Amino acid sequence: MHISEGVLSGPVMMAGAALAVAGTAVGLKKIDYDRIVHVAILSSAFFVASLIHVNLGPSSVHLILNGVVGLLLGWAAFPAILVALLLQAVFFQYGGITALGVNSVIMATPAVICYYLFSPFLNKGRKTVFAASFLAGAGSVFISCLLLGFSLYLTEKSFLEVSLLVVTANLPVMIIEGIVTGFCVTFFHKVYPEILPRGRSNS
Amino acid sequence: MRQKNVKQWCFLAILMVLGWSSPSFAHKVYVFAWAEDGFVHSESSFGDKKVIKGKVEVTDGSGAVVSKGITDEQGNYSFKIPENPGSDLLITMDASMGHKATWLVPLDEMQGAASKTAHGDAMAQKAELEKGPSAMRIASGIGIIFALAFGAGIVNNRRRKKHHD
Repeated sequence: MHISEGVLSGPVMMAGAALAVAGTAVGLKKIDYDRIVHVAILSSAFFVASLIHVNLGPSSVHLILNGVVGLLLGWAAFPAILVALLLQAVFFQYGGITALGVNSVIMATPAVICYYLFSPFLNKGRKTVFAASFLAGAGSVFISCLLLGFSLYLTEKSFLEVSLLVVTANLPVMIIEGIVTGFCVTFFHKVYPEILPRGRSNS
Repeated sequence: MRQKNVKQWCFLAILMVLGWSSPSFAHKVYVFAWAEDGFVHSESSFGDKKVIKGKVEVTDGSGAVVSKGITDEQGNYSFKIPENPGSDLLITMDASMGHKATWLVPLDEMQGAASKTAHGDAMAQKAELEKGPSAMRIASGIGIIFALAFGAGIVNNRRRKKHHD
């Protein structure tokens, strides 16, 4: 899912960087600093998740976990994902520093969208929580694929072709992410509801 | 009972998918190339996974395309060294979906003047590219994340205190 350096045009990278800075600024403003440890835990999970790979056709895809990060952190997902991506670029050479802004937007924007769409369902019954979390996990990967396709379209002008390829290649990841997110959030809902966004849990 | 069965199936599905996927510790796509017997040979992979049908383009110092093609089932692509090459050649490999890598083939290597040390350095570079992230790097990354969070917490506490005073 990481776009490598040298793939995108200058204006696309600049626009991505500007959006990432704006999103991170909002995220930093909205972070509940009493729960900063939760942000660190989820950022670490995101940082490590990319090491779990699934080889598919001519490419290779990996777990992203932006759905669970978004669902539990809301806007704070932006700084959490930005830091994790920066460290991935530095330590693992995934993506790259110049593509950091675009990669952050591609992965953090769906996280925030899924937060608004699905977090209201986290105070319902366990089945509803699982369903909402599954959709958040799968949906965030799907939206990331569309944003990736759009970013490449702005450079290569072949949105439909690229998006179809990316969505198809990441279809198993969407299902895995949905299941993983569903189990994670349902588990937290049961044993540690404090990690859920305030006012969303039953406790 | 039915709910229990659904959970068991979901758990089994995750195990199957994770079992089917091969753990790879180098998602970064890379291309490595060397000159030998009048040809430049290249290898493209995601670490332990070869890039099949990746688009390869070779350009010279002026940006002119010298060779173009796709990688085979083994992630390999070879081309004949142009007569009297005047500059280094840049190999760009596009593995689609935003994955791209480059490798520079030095002029002296194509002219057969590269030393064994230079070749050894190139092989060491290839080994470095193929090597996955170490446990130390993973632990360092997590440590930095928590240090940043700790720092942000301290800054916020000081702000609160100032505001309170």
